[in-house]
Amino acid sequence: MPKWFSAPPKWAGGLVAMALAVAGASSSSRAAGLLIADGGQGGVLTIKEHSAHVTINNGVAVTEVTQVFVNTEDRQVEALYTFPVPRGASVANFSMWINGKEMTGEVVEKQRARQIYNSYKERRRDPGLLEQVDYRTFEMRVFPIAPRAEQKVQVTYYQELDFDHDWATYVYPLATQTRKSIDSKADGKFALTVDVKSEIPIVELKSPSHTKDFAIAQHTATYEQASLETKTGDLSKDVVLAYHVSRPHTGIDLITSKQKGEDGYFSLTLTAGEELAAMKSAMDYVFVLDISGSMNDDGKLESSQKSLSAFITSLSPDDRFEVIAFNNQPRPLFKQLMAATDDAKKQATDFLTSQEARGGTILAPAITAAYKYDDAAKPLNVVIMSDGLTEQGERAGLAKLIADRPGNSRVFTVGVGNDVNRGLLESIANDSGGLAAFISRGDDFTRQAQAFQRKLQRPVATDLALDFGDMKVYDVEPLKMPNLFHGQPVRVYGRYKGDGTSNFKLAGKVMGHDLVQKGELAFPKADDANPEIERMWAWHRVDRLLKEADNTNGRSDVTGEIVRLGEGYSIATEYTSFIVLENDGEYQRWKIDRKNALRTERDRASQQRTADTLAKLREKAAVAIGPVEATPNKQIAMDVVPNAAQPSVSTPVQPKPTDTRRPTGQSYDFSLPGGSSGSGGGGAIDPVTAIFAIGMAVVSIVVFKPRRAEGRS
Amino acid sequence: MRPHAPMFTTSTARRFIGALPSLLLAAMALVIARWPAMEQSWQFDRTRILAGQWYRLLLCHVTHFGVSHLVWDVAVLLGLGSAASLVDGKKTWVAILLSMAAIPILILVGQPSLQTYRGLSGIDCALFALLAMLLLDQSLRDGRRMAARIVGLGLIGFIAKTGYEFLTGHTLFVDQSAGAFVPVPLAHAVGAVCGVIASRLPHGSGISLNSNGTATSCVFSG
Repeated sequence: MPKWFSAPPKWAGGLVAMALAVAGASSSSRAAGLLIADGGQGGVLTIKEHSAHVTINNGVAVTEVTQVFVNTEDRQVEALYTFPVPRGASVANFSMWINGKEMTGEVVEKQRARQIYNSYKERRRDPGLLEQVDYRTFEMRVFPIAPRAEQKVQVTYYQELDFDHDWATYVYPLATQTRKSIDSKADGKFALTVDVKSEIPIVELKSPSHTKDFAIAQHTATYEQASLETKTGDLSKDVVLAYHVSRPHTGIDLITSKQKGEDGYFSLTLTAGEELAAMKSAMDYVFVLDISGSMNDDGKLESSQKSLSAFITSLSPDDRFEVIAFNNQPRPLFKQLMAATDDAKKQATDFLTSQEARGGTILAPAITAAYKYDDAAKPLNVVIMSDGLTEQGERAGLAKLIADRPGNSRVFTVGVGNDVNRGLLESIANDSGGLAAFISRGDDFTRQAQAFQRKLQRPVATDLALDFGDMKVYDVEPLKMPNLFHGQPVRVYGRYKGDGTSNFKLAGKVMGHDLVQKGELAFPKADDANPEIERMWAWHRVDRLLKEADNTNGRSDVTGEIVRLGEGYSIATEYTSFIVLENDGEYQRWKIDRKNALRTERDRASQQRTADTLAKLREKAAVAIGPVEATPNKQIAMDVVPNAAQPSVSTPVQPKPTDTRRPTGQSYDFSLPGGSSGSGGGGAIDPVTAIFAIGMAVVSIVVFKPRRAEGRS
Repeated sequence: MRPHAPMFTTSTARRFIGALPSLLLAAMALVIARWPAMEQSWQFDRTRILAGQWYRLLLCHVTHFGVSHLVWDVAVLLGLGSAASLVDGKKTWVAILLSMAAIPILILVGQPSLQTYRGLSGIDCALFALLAMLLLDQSLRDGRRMAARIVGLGLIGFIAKTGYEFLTGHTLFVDQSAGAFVPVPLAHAVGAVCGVIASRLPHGSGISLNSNGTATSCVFSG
């Protein structure tokens, strides 16, 4: 059985934590989250079971983490489990098993939730509390865990996966420490199962971080499964799974959710297709590497160095670049833009690897220095690799600096690891027309660097605006559509009234030319296939409100709306928490509506339908596995060369996956400009040729007149 | 030199039959343009064709990427289709059917990076090549040297343009980055070859008819 232990915490006076090590343990390593006995009573807790089941459906991942805590002492303790969540994740459910029955939590305003929790704690009854501590950390408190008793909890969180050039990446955080002073360790088994379902055919599924630990099964062209169960595997780094889908055409995908009698929700994804692959041009780059002391943590500097080296290695000879390392002050390498020759690349790589992390993070001078390389003839891309853990007071100055950037420049930010200030890095990138990327420690740096570079080289569509025609669409998130980059889909969430067909119109600019695309999209009367997008819509709204507040007058004006959204859509935020009470009566006593219980029931029904569909797909695929009948005169394709010992008649062959997908959404492909080597093409008659051809047709009729005499004969 | 046989049919019905494939294709293209979702489900889509939607190989021709694309393709199809059907309706049928089949198949096999394809221009090219070859033949037989030169120049220009596009991957007369046209030179080249093949069919395979409906097997002989 896996056991998680922690060293005594130094930060919480009066708290006694566990610091036990299992003598002779076969393997142990750092792992996600931290389990301690809190509340001033001490105690030793272990985790008996830790499993995670992930369902990825069209790029939205639902992660269900189930854990069983065990109190190994003869006294009551309070468990405090603090865990990181991936970027952009929204905690959507927290359940505890009380007296053998699952009690789902409800979301209430944070302070009230804490008061309720404490009131139960004083009476030594069963409450559970899940709070968001900061942008990346959640804490779960469970009390009491009786002597020698077990406590089962389940946390569910939703997240949109990042897509990079048709590669979607899922990260299960294991490497991130939530509190630096405590060294948490995991021992024994860890199980992770991932079902990947996609309307777009899946080309490949792999784990860059745990290649050898994962078993991957391709059941159909649109459904694959990966599972990891290890006692000896390396859990000191994040589990990263990446899958490649082939979306050859630029276009949009729409999924909806609507309960009868209520306004609906939609998620619309705009994706640049392969036909734009030929559109690229030489660029100027200034790479800005953060070498401040915080980059020492979690191997961030090393990861940044590798990632940046991979990026520089992949530059074309036509590109020019400079590298600036910064902590308290910037230090440029070349002091000019250098052509990306092999020699320059080597110098840059040597420069990067020689850097050591120390000092503070002062970003503004580095960005100012980078702007000085602006050349009106070429677009300047400033690529910042940093954790963004800069001074809070520097934010306003950075915002102004971004606003005052040279007109021909964009700023791209790359955060490495889970311990990054995502909000700041995204703000910097979004405000400058660039984009932000986040790379996990276990990721494939070369692939990520190449994917990011492709996005920089091929700006696809700018100034985008979406019009839904007569369909009543409202509360669209984000308020302004971001630029569409190659390999970086744009997702839009919103609400709609009624139902019907929308004659939509997408307008924008591509390579300076006007782009207008029109089409039809059906918004259904009822749709129970994608309830998760309701929470995702609310989460995006909360996220935007917080970012806007941080950049303006503070959060006081938006707190009420965030609490309303959190409670209404059952999502934990910095202002709302999950509270689990003993029974329904207790919820009534506190006048807490069981909104989440209803929502969770609906979500689980939908997930069950998905699970049933996936099970059928697995069964169907399994039917085709087995011995193949002998066909004496027909060659059978085999992976193994037949020989006397391996007669072909008994050699199992892998069945070819069949596409048995059931569309749950709509897709619409666009025609965008692209080179002939791209993937979208049309037999195009240009006007000159057309006029010439038509002219020839007319002349042929006039000049070569029918010989009517012969016709009359 | 005098012609040995009638160059054009005089039967309206037979002219109509000769022009029928062009008219049908043009009508389908114009009608389906009103339903973008239908166009999407008919277009050449490599992934879906390989998944079993083979009907896209034939239907892709009547789908278009936009009004400009549609208008020029259909205008040329109607012009060349009508003219070619007046010259030789049967060979017009052959050129259209042959190019309809050959273009998507060769794109599927020969241009694996191309995921989607729409348009009638490959068929237009087949008709252009067919008509040009027929007119060139007839001009030479009629002794109309000037006409033969003009047609020959037009044919050479067309071959040169198609060859340039095929070899360079770029359009000659339009800015492909403007988004109006995304050319597939392979389709044009294949279409042109189909037109030439149709024009070279043995005598008698054409439907150049006289007024009493008898096939004139010696239309181009001599």
